[in-house]
Amino acid sequence: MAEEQLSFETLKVRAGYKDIFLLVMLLLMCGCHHHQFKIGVTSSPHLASLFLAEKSGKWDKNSHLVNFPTSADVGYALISGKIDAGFMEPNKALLIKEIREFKDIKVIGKITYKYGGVLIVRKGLDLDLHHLNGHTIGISEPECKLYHALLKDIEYAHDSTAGIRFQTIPFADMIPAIEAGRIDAAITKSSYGAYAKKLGMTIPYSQWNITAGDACCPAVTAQCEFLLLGRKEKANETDQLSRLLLETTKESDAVLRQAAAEKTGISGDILESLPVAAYDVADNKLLQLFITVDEKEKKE
Amino acid sequence: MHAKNKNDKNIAGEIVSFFRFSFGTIITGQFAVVIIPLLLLWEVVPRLHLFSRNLFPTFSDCASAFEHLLLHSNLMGHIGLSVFFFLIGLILSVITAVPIGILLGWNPALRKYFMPVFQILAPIPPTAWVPIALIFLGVGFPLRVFLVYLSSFFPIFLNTFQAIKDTDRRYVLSARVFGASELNILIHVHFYHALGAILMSIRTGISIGLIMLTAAEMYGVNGGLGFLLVHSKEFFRIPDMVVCMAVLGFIGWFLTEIIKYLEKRICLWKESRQEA
Repeated sequence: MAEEQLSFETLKVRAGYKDIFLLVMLLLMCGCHHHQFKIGVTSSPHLASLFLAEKSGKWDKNSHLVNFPTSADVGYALISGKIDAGFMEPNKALLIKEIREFKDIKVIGKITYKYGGVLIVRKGLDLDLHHLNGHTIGISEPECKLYHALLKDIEYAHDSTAGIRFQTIPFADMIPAIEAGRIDAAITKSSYGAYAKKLGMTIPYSQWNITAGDACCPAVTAQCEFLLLGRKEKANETDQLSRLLLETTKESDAVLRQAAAEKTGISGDILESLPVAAYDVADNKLLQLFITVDEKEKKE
Repeated sequence: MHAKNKNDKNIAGEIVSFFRFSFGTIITGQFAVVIIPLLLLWEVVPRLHLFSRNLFPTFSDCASAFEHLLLHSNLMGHIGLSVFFFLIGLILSVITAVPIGILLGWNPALRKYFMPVFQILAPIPPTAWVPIALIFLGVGFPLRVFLVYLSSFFPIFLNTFQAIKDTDRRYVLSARVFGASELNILIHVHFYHALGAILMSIRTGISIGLIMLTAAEMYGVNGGLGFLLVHSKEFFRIPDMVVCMAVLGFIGWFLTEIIKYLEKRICLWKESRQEA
């Protein structure tokens, strides 16, 4: 009986040590979780300066990139506090501005890309400007500058546009529409070029001599591919991230392309043929777009 | 003419009987006691500002979204498209899975050759087929139909196979004693024995098929409830998302009710067994 009681006492002590060990582990895990700075991203090559920053020695070890399928998902995670900062497309960021929780968010910076138009053609289809007749081309809207630039260049090449069928499709839906075979090609923003090439599509035409700014593409957001948004309570970390991005964006195009290629899986050859996106802090014009109703009332 | 009128009356009678059968389970006092408080809770909780109303819309917000989608966003068109592709996939799976299940359940020799193939393929989750289906079939019609077909094929096939295999030997032997041919035994003994299980498996196939239809419509399409759901999510229209979810749930329920009604009308022995 004494031996049994001894064993039982030993067991109680052992169970106690086990409980303490588990408790310590739990606390450590909670601690780790508490100090993490999470940044929501999509796997876009235009975030090259961020990917390069992640590899640099100045990257905060508590910062982690969290991948999301789309920037709308980044938005949901940001406003629900699951991440501390995130890169979102400007049109999506303007939509979440209307949500009450956006008062805890601020716009910190922007990723810009050289504005231009590219004609993306379906994989396997051998098209150029002279052979567009009889095919269906997607355009964002009839007043789009990119569309008018294409028409001008076709006419300059002494070809007629009468036999071309134009179909209006939002920019974001153009590549899926080409893949589905609903259209043969699309005239879209140059920033979609890298992704299109990754899918095996060709770009027989590009026009860089276009200034952003029309009804479909307001100048403030047209050249903006992503906005860096951050939660206000993490101001120190987001400012630190912004400063680091300002440093890495100054690196050479080759270094930035390599960082993007490693992270996104898009080959260096594809990225070589296209410009590199740059990071900059948000200017007043951009910040004006994101003033919430509460802030407007406070100012008044 | 008289026969045609009689047929029309029969069809109308069946339709009325079906709606009484299906909606009769929902429009009851007991269900009202549960659903009305839930709806009230749904309406009131977001208004208490415990959650953001943008992220957690009220019942009335969703009702308004439903009206808007119906009148201005061609909701019926999206529903029609989804149901069309879904039915093609489901019908194809039924007309292939049932005969194959009957064949392999009935013939032990064929079973030894072919059953291992199905046993290996069946556990693969339908969602795991999406990338390879995208590569070989592209997006749009083939992808939608294939994913619905694949996800509903295996439950129907496996249940049919098992039910045929488990046919009570006494029935088979009795039929043989009375001089029935193998074909007659297959149709009038095995098949009818398995009919309840087949219909039950079609109900399972409907649920899984709807899941995969929604997944398929997230890739490169411009119509359908899955497309509308993702589109609403991308543009932060949460009431619209809730409407899409509710409509998908209703479609699944309605199709399941059709199968239950068919079971009630065809599998009469089950009804009498339950009454006994």
